[in-house]
Amino acid sequence: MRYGTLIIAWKEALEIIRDRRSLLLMLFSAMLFPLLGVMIAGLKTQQEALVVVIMCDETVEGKELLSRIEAAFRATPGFRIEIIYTNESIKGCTAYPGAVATIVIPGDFGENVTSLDRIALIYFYKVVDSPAAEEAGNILNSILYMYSLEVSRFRVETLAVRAGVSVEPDYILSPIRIVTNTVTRGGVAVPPQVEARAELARFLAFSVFFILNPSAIAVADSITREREQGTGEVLAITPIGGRELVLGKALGSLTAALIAGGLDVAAVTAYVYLVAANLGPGVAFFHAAQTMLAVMVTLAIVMLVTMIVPGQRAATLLASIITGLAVMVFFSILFIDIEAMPTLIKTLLYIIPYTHTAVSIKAFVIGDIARAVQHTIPLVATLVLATYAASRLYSPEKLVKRL
Amino acid sequence: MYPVKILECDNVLVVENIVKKFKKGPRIGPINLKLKRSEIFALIGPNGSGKTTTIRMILGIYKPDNGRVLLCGEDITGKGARGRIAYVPEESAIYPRLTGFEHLLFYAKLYARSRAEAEKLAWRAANISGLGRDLYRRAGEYSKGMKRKLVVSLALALDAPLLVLDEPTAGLDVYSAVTIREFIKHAAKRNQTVLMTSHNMLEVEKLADRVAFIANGRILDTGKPKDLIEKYNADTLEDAFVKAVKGGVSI
Repeated sequence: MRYGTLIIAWKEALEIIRDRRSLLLMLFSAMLFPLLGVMIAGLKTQQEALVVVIMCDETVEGKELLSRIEAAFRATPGFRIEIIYTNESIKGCTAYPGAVATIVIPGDFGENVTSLDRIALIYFYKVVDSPAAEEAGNILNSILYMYSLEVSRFRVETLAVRAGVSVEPDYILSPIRIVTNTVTRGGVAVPPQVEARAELARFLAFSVFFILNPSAIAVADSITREREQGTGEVLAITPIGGRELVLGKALGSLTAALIAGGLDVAAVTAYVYLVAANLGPGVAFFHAAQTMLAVMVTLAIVMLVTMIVPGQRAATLLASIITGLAVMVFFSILFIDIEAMPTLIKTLLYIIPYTHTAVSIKAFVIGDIARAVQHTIPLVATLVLATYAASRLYSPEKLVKRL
Repeated sequence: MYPVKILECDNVLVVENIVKKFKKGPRIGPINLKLKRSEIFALIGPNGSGKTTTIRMILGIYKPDNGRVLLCGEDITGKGARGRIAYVPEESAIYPRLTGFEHLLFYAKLYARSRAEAEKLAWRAANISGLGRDLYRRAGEYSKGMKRKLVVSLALALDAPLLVLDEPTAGLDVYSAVTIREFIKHAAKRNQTVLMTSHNMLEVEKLADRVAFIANGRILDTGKPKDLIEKYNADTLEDAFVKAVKGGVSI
């Protein structure tokens, strides 16, 4: 590496380190990620969603179901349960005002549940557009699924006794079963703890956006800043060559990338700690390395385009486009499976370097190291090629303001 | 590369028929100039007359479409002199987040061949600037005059055979302007050739050995200030310039 490259990198590093506004923005933005985790997990515990059970049945079966419902909701953070006992018929049992969910156990519940040929109904009223009501519905469904299974077993056993045959109730209740095995895309079996990480992997891939965005903005105007403040004109006549200048700028962006990487490790560690996720330090470091790579790739692309289309406005526009693309990729990774996309869409997505960032993080988190490396290669190649092309396209004219 | 030896040649800069045509904008040239050793040469013209473009062609920032630029006989057309021309642009080109001394050291390192040489050069520029303890403050906090002193001091410290100054005193207070003029005179005494542009005719009249009037991308006339005043039967250089422009191409 030539001496001039290191001098430029040194100057860039000093400028980045002293850019307090950008550093604060990077810090704030990085901490948004664990804050989001805390918000989702922490605010949920502060939630006090009222679930009311209107108990119209006095049978043992009704009371058994009520105790299961009560136990489940009391054990779930964010819910408050109230039970109202009434002798009214089902006609009088409707949604309770102020409750996100109302569960009605009607007066004929016990009678129907213990019969062999009737269905026992539970009435559930949920408030529209309430995630708490949706969750209450899921809790109730899981309680009823287990209770319903017990009732079914009882009915099968009773019928078998009456028929004078011996049967295994489960074989009658579930004659066809699914045997699920989770594997990597390469077909290798995935242990249960890794499977549990899969959902987290998508969120971790998405989280790169938080730190990449301010870091990319901090380094994106590296060339245009020289032009706008007039220093480019002086730099252009120094003995330094275009290759040294571009390489120096790229190397200088490593400072911003290292700061971004450090903040990223802190943010991921904070997130893992706050949401009690089961992730090792390797994930945090790989995540940080990918973030650093993404920052440097961003600078390399912006430098290349700046050499083709000079001007502060072009650089600003480009930074906006890159930010937009990053948002699009990192957000969509939460909901879509890129591999399952049609070839054309998949190709278009893979042209965007950040897609590889997201995919490699996802792959690393679930333990598919080969795939993580495979998707890191295009990022490194983009960085090298864009930097090389920018240095080839350099001319002193690109460093000065047009008259 | 620093240290640059003052070249032993009489015609330090020779500009022969250089022309630049932009896709959008006027054609500049053909420009012909000849600058002698130790001479202070001023390029005078209104805004948009082609002064900065001419300077950029000399510096090698713009490649002329025609003609050539010779520095002590060496053809430097379109490639610049790589450290043998010191340049102070119109704007005070400083890095606001670096201290004054870091700024000097940065450029010194780009010109010097070793760290020791770079430090020597930076200290030399620091002494010329006269900024004292202010050199340890961030350059972004400097006044316009201080920024100018910082940039000019570096250009002087380089000891380049040719010193190009674009509007060196523009926007400065009287005291700062006087200091910069002293810097320029000092450079010429040290055998450096100075090419400068200015809107301040009085300054040029006092400072420059020779001037060139430029308008609409062409050199209208060249000569000593006194000779030009006489030639155009004017009272001042300003009058001479206006008459030259009116008599030549319209202003």
